[in-house]
Amino acid sequence: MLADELKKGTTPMLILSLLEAEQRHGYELSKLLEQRTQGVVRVHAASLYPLLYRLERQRLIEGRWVEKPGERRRRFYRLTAEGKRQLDAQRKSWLEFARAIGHVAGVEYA
Amino acid sequence: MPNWNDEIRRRLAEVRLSAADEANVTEELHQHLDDRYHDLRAKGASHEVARRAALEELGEDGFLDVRMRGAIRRAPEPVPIGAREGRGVAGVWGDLRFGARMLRRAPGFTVTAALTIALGIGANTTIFSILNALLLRPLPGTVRSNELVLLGRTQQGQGFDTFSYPDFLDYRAGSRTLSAVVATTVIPAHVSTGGASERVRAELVTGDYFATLGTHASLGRLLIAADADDGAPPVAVLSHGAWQSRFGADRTIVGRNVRINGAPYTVVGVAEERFNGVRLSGVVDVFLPMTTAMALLPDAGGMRDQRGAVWLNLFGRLAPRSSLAQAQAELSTIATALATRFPETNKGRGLRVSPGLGLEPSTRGDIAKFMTILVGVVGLVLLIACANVANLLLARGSARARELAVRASLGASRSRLVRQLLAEGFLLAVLGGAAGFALGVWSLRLALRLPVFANSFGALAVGIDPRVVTFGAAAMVLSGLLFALPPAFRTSRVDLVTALKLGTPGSGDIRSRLRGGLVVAQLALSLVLLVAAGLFVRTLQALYRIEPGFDTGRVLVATVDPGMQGYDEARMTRLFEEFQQRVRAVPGVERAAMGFIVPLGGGGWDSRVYPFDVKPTPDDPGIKSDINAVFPGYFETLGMRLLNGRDFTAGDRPGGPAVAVVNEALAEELWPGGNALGQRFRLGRGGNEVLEVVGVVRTARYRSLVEPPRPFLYRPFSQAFRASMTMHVRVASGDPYVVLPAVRRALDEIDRDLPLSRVQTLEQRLSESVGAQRTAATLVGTYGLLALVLAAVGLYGSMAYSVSRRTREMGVRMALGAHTSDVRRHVLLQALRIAALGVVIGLIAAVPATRFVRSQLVGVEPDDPVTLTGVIAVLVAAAVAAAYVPARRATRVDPVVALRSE
Repeated sequence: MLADELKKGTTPMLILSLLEAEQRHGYELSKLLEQRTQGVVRVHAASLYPLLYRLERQRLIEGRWVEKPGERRRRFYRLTAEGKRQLDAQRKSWLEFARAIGHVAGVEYA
Repeated sequence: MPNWNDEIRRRLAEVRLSAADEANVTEELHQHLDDRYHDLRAKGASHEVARRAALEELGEDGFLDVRMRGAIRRAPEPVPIGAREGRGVAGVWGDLRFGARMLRRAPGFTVTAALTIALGIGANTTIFSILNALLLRPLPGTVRSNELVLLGRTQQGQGFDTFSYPDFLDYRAGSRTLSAVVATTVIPAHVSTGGASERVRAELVTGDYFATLGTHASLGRLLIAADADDGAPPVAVLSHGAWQSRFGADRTIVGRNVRINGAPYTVVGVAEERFNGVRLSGVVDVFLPMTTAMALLPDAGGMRDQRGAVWLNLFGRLAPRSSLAQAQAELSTIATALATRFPETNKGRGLRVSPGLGLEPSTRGDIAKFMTILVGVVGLVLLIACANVANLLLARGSARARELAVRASLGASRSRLVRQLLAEGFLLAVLGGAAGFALGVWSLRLALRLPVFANSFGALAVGIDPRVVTFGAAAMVLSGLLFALPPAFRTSRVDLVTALKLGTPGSGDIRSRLRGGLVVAQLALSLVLLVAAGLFVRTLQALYRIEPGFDTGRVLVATVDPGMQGYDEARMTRLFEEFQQRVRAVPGVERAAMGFIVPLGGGGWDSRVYPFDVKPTPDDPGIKSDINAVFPGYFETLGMRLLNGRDFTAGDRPGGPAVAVVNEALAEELWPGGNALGQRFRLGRGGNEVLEVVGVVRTARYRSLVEPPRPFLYRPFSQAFRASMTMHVRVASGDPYVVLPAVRRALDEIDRDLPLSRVQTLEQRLSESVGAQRTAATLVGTYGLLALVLAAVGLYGSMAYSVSRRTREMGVRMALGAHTSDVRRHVLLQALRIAALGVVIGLIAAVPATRFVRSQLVGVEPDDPVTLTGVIAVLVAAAVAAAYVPARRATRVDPVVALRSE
């Protein structure tokens, strides 16, 4: 299925964008992904965390444990400089790709 | 609130994270699941719904662990899981490394499989080494062996016999197709270096013997043509073995004098280590030039000049650009010319050329037949071993179905999976092959102690040469393909949907059918082997039931050869008589008498016999009868029954009326239905000697237990002098060997220089005479049992596996009220069905297979009902035993546990 393939390929980019504004923890990321894509992208924990660890190993994001009073500690992820560069590059190529698709398939790019 | 940690840890167990990583990951996932659970509860979901939805976050079993691997571990699996396909050498290397790791992780499986293969390859290595030494490799210590040919004399186109010295000279002078014709004969000789003399095997050879063979000296020089000149100083060459064992590997032996049969010889050298003479059937201790050594033979003049005296073995080397066929044609022409020139002796004589030295063509044929059976047997053992390992691999393949499915789902192609599985098979084959080779070399030593090899080829240097190594490697590769290929294809046919689902496939799984088939094949093959083994055991039983016609239990035999010590006839006669008297006086000796031929020694002495009223021509073959020359008291000593007439007495003198005792078989041939006693008959070519029958004895077995009734006649020693006689000593009771020291002393008192040789009991001789059958029974029996054990282990493994996979089904049956005995019966019946199928197929296969062993059977038919029933019973018993443990395990299934496993 095209949608499945697309989802697989784009999830890393979506995560990077969600971390652009502020640092977030895993559960928050999964909820935001689901809400903002209106349920089209739904990532289980079993996929999400391995993906986060992979991005972390590629030094695109950085995770650290944060303790807040009265709460259990949580692991928050934030974008690194390298991650930001990667995100910009991906956005650009994604935009070009989407435009190209739009021209050929007659889909209006919103 | 649920505790997720256990579940998370279980899912992560396979990833093998470091403790710190695992703690972190678990904590993070735990929180995620908590958050999810609380969110859903807040939205009004029940505890159970929320709990299940939270767990769904972990994905299906096996999913998290695969995802987590590449993501977190610094050193990921060396074999790419799917995306990158390893190709070429690097890919194969990766496959092998991964295979090695998988095998290390399952040591039980690996050891079982490698051992099974080792047993199969070991058996094959052993038998092939023997086959190689006997039939395949060239005679050790010779060069360009493919040019060497053996010559044999035929009579009316039959046989492969010895030549006379004059004939040898004519063939040698006349042949252009052979660059050399060499004559040899082996005689027993006494060698002494000053002390007591020892009996050795001496080969008398013509001067070009070593040059023709291309043998090297390991010390000094070998015999050369000049050593064979008339009047040349007598010289001797030692074999390497004799130099080591009898002369302590003394390097100063060259140039020293030894006495051979009392005559002085100078040792000029030692032959190379591998060379033991040109006969595989016996090693030679000393090589002597024929011309000087002929003086050692009794009646030397006659041996040299008479065309009728045939005593030489000939071999030759093909001249350059000559073929075997050309040599055969040329030598046949010479044989025809000789027959025309010397009809008196050479009429009907021909010559046969046979490629290769070491064994006569008929012996070669017998050995080939025997070895074919053994090769077939060990081939079957290897097949069974392969089936067994294939089965193990299949079972393992089922257990690994999920792993393979995950690989496939991540993009690994089928060929990729096959390659991976084959790499594991290859490693198993190498492990098993190496262990098997070592096992084979070790068991070779045991096999060579078996009678047929130990007695006939005692010093056969069976070793590991490049041929054996190549064979071992080929067997390894072949068996690797046999056992690894089918399971690899079977297992790699992954059904993603089924395999990735939770739970286990049931018994209808297609793999289980292939597994069942393999077990049936194993049982069928081992049935064939067991039938063969059973037939050989029955043959042995039949042989031991045969009445040889004389007592074997209490008789010791020992040979004296005074002829080699320069005795004349009168002195020898006195010696034999005195020796007999002294032995009869030994305490414990009941009777003693000497005879020329010892029964069941394999060989004999025969001549032609004619009725008295026939004056035969030299061509008339008459009746062929064996002869023995014996002293009075011989028949009583051996417990042979005199049916009529009398034994020989001191009254049967040389020059007196010639007398004989005949056996029933000869009496019946000469005087059918009549009374033999007092009758006369003619003996020898031309029938010139006339003998009168003074006694008739019962027909016994003389040369072999399985011969048809053989005409036999006995002459008194006084009228049929022989230079070598064998003492037969019958003890009153107990072990005949007890009197041996006293017998030896009795001979020493007469002449210290005379050794006793070929000391045995008749019981031992009897046992040796059935050596081939004993060897066959031992080897086929051992390998048959090995096959049965392998097949039983295979059946056990299959049943145990099937039961473990059907735990749930058993549980359901028992939950629905099935009795434990019902479940047990169910499992046993399943095993019995497999065994029955194996028996039926095995019986069908055994019919043609046992035809190959028919030639080796005595007193039993290939379809012997006793053997067949016995073997079937053994096989079914083994099957039940193999299924019993799994059957009991099946009844111990707790329905609750079984159902929960879903």
